[in-house]
Amino acid sequence: MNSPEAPNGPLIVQSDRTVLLEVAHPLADDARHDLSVFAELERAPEHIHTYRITKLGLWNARAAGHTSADMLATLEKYSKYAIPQVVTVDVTETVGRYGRLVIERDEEGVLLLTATDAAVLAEIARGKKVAALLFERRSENTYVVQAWARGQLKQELLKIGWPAEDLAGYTPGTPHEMSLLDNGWHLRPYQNDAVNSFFEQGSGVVVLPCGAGKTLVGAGAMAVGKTNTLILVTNTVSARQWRNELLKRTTLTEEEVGEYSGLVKDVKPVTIATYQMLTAKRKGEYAHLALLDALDWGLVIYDEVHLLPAPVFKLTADLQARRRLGLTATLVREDGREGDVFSLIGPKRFDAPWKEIEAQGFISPASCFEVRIDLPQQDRLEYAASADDVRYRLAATAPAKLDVVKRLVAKHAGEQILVIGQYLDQIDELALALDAPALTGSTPVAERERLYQSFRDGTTKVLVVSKVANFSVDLPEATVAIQVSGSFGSRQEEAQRLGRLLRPKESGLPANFYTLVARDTVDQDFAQNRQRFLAEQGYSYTILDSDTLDAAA
Amino acid sequence: MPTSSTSTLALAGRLRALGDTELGGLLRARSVRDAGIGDFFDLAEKLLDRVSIHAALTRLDRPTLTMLAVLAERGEEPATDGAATASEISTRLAQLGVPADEPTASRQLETLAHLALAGETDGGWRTWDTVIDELRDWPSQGLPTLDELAAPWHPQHHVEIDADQGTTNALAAERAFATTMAVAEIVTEQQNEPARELAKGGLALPDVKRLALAAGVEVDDVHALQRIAVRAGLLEHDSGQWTVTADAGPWLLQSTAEVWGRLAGAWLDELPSDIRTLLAGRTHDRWDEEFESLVAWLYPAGGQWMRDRVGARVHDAELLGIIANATPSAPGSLLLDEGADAASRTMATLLPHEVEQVYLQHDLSIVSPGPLAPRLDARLRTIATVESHALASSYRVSPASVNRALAVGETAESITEFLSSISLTGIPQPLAYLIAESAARYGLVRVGRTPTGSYVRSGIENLLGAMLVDQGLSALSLTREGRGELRSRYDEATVFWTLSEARYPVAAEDADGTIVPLARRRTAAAAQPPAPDPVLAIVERLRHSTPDAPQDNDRAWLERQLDAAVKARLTITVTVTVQDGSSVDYVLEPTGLGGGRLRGRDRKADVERTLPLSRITAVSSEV
Repeated sequence: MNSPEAPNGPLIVQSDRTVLLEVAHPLADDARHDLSVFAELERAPEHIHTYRITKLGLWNARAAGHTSADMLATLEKYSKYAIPQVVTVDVTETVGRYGRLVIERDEEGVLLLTATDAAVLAEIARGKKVAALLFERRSENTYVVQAWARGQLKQELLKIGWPAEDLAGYTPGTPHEMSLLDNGWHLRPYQNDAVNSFFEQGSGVVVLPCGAGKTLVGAGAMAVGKTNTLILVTNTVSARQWRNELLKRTTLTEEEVGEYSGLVKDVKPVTIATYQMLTAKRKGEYAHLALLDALDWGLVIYDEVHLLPAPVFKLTADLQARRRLGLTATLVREDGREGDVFSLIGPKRFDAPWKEIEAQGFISPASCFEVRIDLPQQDRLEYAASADDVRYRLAATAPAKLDVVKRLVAKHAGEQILVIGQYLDQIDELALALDAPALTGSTPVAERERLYQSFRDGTTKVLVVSKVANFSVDLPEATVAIQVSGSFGSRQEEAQRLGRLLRPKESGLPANFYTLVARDTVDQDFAQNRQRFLAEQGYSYTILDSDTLDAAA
Repeated sequence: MPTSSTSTLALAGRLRALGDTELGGLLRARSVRDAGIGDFFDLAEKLLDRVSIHAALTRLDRPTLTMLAVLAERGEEPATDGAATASEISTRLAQLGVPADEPTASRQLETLAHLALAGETDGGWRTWDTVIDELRDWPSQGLPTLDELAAPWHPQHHVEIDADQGTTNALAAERAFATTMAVAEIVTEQQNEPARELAKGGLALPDVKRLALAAGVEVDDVHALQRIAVRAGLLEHDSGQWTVTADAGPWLLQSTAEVWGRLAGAWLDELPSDIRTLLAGRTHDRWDEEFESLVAWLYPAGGQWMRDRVGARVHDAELLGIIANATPSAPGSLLLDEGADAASRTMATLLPHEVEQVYLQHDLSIVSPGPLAPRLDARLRTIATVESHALASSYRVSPASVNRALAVGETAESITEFLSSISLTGIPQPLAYLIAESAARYGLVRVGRTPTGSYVRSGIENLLGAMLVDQGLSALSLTREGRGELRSRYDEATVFWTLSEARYPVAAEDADGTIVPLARRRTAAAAQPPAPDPVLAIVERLRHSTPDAPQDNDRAWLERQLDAAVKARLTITVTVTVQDGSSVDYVLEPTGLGGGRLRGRDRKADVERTLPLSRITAVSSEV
C-alpha cells in the first residue's frame, strides 16, 4: 500500500477525504502549493496541516482550469501511502460533473441550459425544484431558461450535485473611461494575473491573503472593464478606504466616485455601498433595492465575500447578467454557504501563488501568548459565590488584569498597541489607566476615523477598542494586541483579531498577541478554544504566568 | 404409519427425557420463542407443526437433508414399521450414489436428532409424519426430490480473473486496514462499557450509535464489525450484554496484520467445510457468483434466510479484504490455500507501514503520521484522548486526560519522558505547561469515604474556603469539619466529580491516603438488570408444568399421556400392576378418563376394561 513513486512523501490522504501535510518534510512546500489548488486548508498548526477535499473545492479548481488527472497526480506524487480508492473515484467523478451542464445563449439571445448528454438532463429534470425553473424543452439536450431563473437554477443545480458552467455572458454596462495611474507604481504580477484570469473566465472570486492587495485587484479589474461599477463593502470605514485607494491609484476623480451610505446617498459612475445599506428594511421591504438598477452597472465588486450577508445572495440571484467579482482571503464561510458564493458570485477564478506572496514577505507572523492571572483570594471567593451568569463577567473584568495590561504596555513601549475589551466600563477604565483614547460602538464615524488616522500616523500609540474594531479595517502599524476580555473566543473572531496584526509592517517588528485569562475560571474554558483555534491558524502559542511575565517574554 | 398424535405423544416423551442443556439447545436451534408453551405436549406439537418443520429444513445442508429424505422414504413404505437401521441407510445412500462413511452418517443422524427431526428407536432411525408430509410436498414447491438431493454439484461459473491483481490487492489492503482498525475501536469501546444485546436479538440502538462514533463508521456498519469481532472471539455474550474476552486485550496490542489474521482466520473457520474445500481450489477465479450458487445448492431450502447469511459472509469477506472487486486478493487466496498465518504475512506487506513517532502540536493535538505501533498507541491513550483513529490517527491532550493518567500512576516525569521518546519535534510549550501544572496541582484536594458520606481535605485553607461559598457546589452541602477538612453526606464519587467539574485540583484517596483512580460514572442504562433469557424461561416453565415430587410428577405425566391418547383415540399399551405384584400389558383403545379410572376397549379380548389409574404404571404408544 506504500506509494511506489514517493514512498515517503509529505501527504497522507485519508478515506474521509482529509489530507494531512507533514510540514517539516523537504517537499512540503511544493506539495502545499499544488494541494491548495483543490483542497481547503482546515487547520494549520505547527507540524501537521489538515486539508479537506470537498466537492466545491474540486469544482472551484476545475473552474480555475485544473483537471482531475492533475489533481490525482498531485496526490500521487506527494503521498506517503497509497491513495484510498474512494478518494480516487470521488475526485474523478466529482470533477467530471463540472462542464456537463452549460448555461449559454443562442443567436437570438435566448438563455439555454445544455447538457453534454441527455441522461444528465433527464436526471436533473426529475428534481422538482430544478424542473420548476426549466421553461421549455428545445431538443433532447437543451432546455430554454428564463432570464430571471439564471441564478436560482445554478443554485438548485449545485445543491443536487450538478454545477452548471455559466457561459451566457454579461451586459456590457454603460462605458466609463478610467485607468490605473502610471506614476511609478504598477500592479504586482500576480495581481495582474488575477485580473486577467477573472476577465477571461467571466464572473468569480479571487482569493488572496490579507495584505496581498485585494483592493488593487478590484481597481485593476475596473481599469480593464471601463464601465460603471458598483462596489459592495462590509462597513463605512472600509468604504472610505476603497474610495481613498481608488482616488490614489486610478484616474477616477472625486466627482466620479460616490458613496451610498446612511449619511450620503451619491449614485455616481463608481458607487461604493455597504451590505448593511442594501439589506436595510423599511416597513418589511428592502429600502435601497433601487440602487442595484440605479445605473447600468457593468461590474459589481463584492468585498470580503466570505462575510456577504445572506439576503445579498437573494438580491445577487437577480444580477446574473452583470459581471461580478468577489474578493476574499478565504472561501470558508461561518454559515457554510460557500455553495451560494460559487453559484451566484461565481467559482474561484484565481489561485494565489502563495509561495511568491510569502517570498515577498507580505505576511508577518504573530506570536500568541496566554497570560494566566491568579485572582486574589477576595476575588476568588466572590467568584465562587456567584451564579454562573455573573461568573463570566467577573472573570473577564477581574481588576487583577489591569496591572498586567499596564506591564505589557510598558514592556512594548513605543510600539503601536491595541487593547481589546468587551465591556464598556472596563474599556473606560483601561483608557483612563493607560491614558489612551477609547473607541466603541457609540463613537461617531468621523471621530472613529480620526482616531484610526492618528493611530496610523503614530501620534496615538495605544488605542483601547471594543468589538467594533473587528471588521475589515486597516490598522497597519499595530504590532501588539492585548485582549483583556472578549466574547467566547469563536474561531472567526480570533482569526480576524489576529489578521489585523498580519498586515504588512514597514517597521519589521514582530507582532505579539496577548490574551489575559483568570486562572481556574470560565475564562480558561474560552482560552482553551482560543488556544486551539489560534494554534490551528498556525500561530505559535505560549502560556505564561502573570508573575513570571517579565522574565519570560 | 403412525398418526401425528402418536408422534406428539412419542416426541413429548423424548423431550421430557432431555437434560436442560440439550433442551435449551433444541429450543434455540428450532427458534422456539413462543411463550404459550405450557408443557411438553405443547412443545411437541409446536415442533411437529408444518411451519416449524419447514423452517427447520431451510437450515439443513444438502447431505443432511438427503439423510432425512432417506428416513422419510423409509417411513412411507407400508411394508416396514418405518424404522431404518444404520446398514439399511448406508445401503440406500450407496444406491443413490452418495459417498457416505460411517462417522459422517452418524453425525448427520445426530444433527437430525438434536433438531428433533428424527429419533432412534429399537427398530432403528425414523422420522415424524409431518416431516414426511413436508418432504413429499417439496417437488411441488420447486425443491429437490431425494434423487435430486443426492446428485453431485456441478460448477457453473468459470470466470477467469481479468481484474488487475495490483488494484485488487490495494483495495483489499485498504479495506482490511480500515476494518481491522474499526473492529479494534469497537472492542476497545466495549471494554470501557459493555454493549447491550436486545432480547429479540441485535444491539441496543444507543450502543450502536456509541460504537459507530467510537469507530468513526456509519451506524449501519456497526453490525458487520460486531459480527466480525464476535466471530473472532474478541467479544462474548454474557447475561444480556457483550463483554470483551480475556485474550482480546493482548491480541489488540499486536500488529495490524496479526489482528487481521485472527479476524480473517475466524471468517475461514466458520465456513462450512465443503464450501471451503471448493473455494480453496478456485482461489484465482471470480467467486462471488460461484460462492452464491454453491451455497444455494448446498442449502436447497435455504431461501431468504440463507441468502442473508451468505450476503453477510460475502460482505464480511469484502470488509476484511479477503476479496475485492469480487476476486480474491493475494492474502485472500493464501487464506483459503494455506491458512491465516500465511495470509497475514502477505497482508503485512500490503498494509501501510507502522510508525513509531508522532507530532505534538501547540493546540495540544498529537498526530501520528501513519498507523502508530499498537503498544505506543495503547500507552498514548492513557495520556490523551483519541480524536480519530484512521490511517493517521489524532489524539488530544486535555487537563482531564492528564489527570486521568496521573490517577493511574503516571507522573509529570514519566509522561514527559514517554512523549519525548515518541515526539518528532520535542514537546511544545503549552503541552509542557499543561503537564507541569496538572501534576503540581494534582491531589492538592483529596476526597475520601467516611461511614456516613465523604470528606474533602486540603492543606490549602483558601481552597476549602472557596468551596464552602461556591454556588456550583451548594448541592454537595459541604460543612466544615475542623481545620483542613470538609464533610459531605454524599458519596466520594459524587463529590469527586462535582469538584473536578468545578475545576478544583481533586484526587480520590483510599483509607491509607493513597490516590486511587475513580472509574467514570456509568450510565443509567448499563445498570439495568439484564433481560431474562427467553429459552431458559421456557425450560423452567416446562420443568414446573408437573408437580415437584418425582412420584407425583410421573403420575401427572401418565395422566397427561392418557388424556392425549383418549382425545386422539390412539391405540396404546398400558402396563398395569395386578394384585400379586406382577405386571400385565393391555393393548387398549381408550374411550374415557375420569373418576380415577381409565376406560378402554381391549381389542385382543374384545371387552371394555375399566382400569384404576393408581394401578397403571406405564403407557406406551406404537411408536
